[in-house]
Amino acid sequence: MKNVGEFNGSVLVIGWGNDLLGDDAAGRRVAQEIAARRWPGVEALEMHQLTPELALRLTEAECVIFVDAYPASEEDGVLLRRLAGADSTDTPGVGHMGRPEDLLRMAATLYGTKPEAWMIGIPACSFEPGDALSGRTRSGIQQALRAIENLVRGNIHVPR
Amino acid sequence: MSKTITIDPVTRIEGHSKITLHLNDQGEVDEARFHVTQFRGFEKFTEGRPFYEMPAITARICGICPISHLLASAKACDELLAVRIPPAAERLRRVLHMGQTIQSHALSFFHLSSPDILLGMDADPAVRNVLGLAGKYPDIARDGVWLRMFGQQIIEWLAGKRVHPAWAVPGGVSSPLTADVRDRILEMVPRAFDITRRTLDLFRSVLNQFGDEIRVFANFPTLFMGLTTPDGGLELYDGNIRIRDEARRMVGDQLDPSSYHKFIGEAVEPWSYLKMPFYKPRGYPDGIYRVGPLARLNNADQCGTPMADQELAEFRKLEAGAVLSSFHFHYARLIEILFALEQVELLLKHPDVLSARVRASAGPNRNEGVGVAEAPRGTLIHHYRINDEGLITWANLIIATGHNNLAMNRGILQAAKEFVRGSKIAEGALNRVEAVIRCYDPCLSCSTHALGQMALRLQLMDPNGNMIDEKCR
Repeated sequence: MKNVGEFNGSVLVIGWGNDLLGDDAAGRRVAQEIAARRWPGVEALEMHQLTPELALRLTEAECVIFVDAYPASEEDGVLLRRLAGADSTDTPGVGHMGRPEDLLRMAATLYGTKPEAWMIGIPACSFEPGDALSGRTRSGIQQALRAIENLVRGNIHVPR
Repeated sequence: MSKTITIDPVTRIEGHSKITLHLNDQGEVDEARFHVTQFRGFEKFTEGRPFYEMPAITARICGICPISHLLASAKACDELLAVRIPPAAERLRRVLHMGQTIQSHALSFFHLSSPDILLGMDADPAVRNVLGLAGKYPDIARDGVWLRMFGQQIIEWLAGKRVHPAWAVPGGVSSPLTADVRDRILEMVPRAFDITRRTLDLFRSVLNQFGDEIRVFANFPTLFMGLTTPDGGLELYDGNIRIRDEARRMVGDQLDPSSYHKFIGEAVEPWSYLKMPFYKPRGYPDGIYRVGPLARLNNADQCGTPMADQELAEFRKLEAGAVLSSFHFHYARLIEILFALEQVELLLKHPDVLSARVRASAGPNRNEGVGVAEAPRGTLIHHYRINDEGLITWANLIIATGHNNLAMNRGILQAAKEFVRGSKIAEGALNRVEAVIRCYDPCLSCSTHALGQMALRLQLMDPNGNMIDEKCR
């Protein structure tokens, strides 16, 4: 596992979601927090949704960390998994809502680039209109931030 | 026994919807409906908010076309302030709007619709998508990625961020343009022109492969509505409303957009959250009309920029009157990208564009304001009422996609009657029905209205109109 120094300053964190639909804002809040911390070599983008031109941004990163909320049951926690990414054979996501795997495949197909890729899922309780976060999601955001810090420092080893 | 075929979700559009097709005993399509299944409620939950928050709030209706809402809302707020914004502010808002037009149309053409156009309507669904396009036509896919990135970059450099920027504000914009940003954008324009022109050439070269689709993709007489300049030119940011019929005869011209309610009515059907706007003098549903790129080019006398006008002349050769087939929304979209690029150059080269005077200041001076702009998908109306404290008491949003609702429904029926037959339903046939919707590039995240209860139902009707099964959620 590489740490941020070995990534040659090219870690990209992408957090997405709708910040007026309750816990759906979680990914963006994480990205905002990462950006505010100004870690050397780490760039954070907050998005409403994943869109195709992000494939160009992926060409600039050795490691990409995607962050999003997911509808969770009571037992669910923060999810952390390494993405197969460019090697995925899954059928692409429908409509405009590109998935991380789709972006990774597009970056590989169009630009020959295959960054190391991770997905962090933050448990969400409510997607109702509003800008408040549930306690569970706020807690999940803090866990996600710690996970990202461990990732960029090379302290996480997750089986492929 | 009749049956109902459901396509749910409709793929490669913004937002979520459902289509139901009702077959008779002969397996022929009798009825088709385009159901919008999202409830957003912005018109209701903005009540009580300060009016100056509306641009930032309504921009969050959508992640693809936030700029359109930002600008229409800012214009409505300008009316509430009773101000004329500085000329430089209008130019900058227009540049922002052109950036939005470029990125939105690029997304629609390259990522949502070109898989059908370039890979074929009958291609395997596993590859008939943007990744399949990237695999078979990587150069075209790269063009699409870059062009959309360019539009988004204009937005980010002007407004500070790509999605939901708060830069357009009541009275103008919040900060002036720097020479550095102006020059960076202008440097990228030539490549954008190259991409757009070769994409237009490509599209024209494959048009003859889609004779059937052109014939039946929502190809029927309707009115066409959109903004124009005072001399009838293509207009995306401001202007007055023009309406033409299928023969391009003038039905209404230079209509005051703030009086839209005098000639646009809104019907509600129980089976969709999307309202049904119609042209009042002709009643509902005969007052069916279309908005968006196809309507704008049918309405305008000229684009007013040389390259786009050259393309418009070619476009006009498709039909003697108005171009009726909704398949040609794709063509019109590409011409509008060209127009937007020419506008970006013109606006950024104006000597006034770097002016520091970009905002007029005032308190609320009116209790009612209407802002209208041409979103990439069509005419967008924001109508607000406020109390004397400046708090929103009522809001009405007529979204571009809503204007096209009647036409989309009729278009689905027309395509379904042509391509959906008997007991063997091919994947390509179902995709053609969806493709009709994609011609309109609907943004369903925006379009749903504020009132009503959950209306999502799937009903199975026999030939006598009796419901024999129903599922609700």
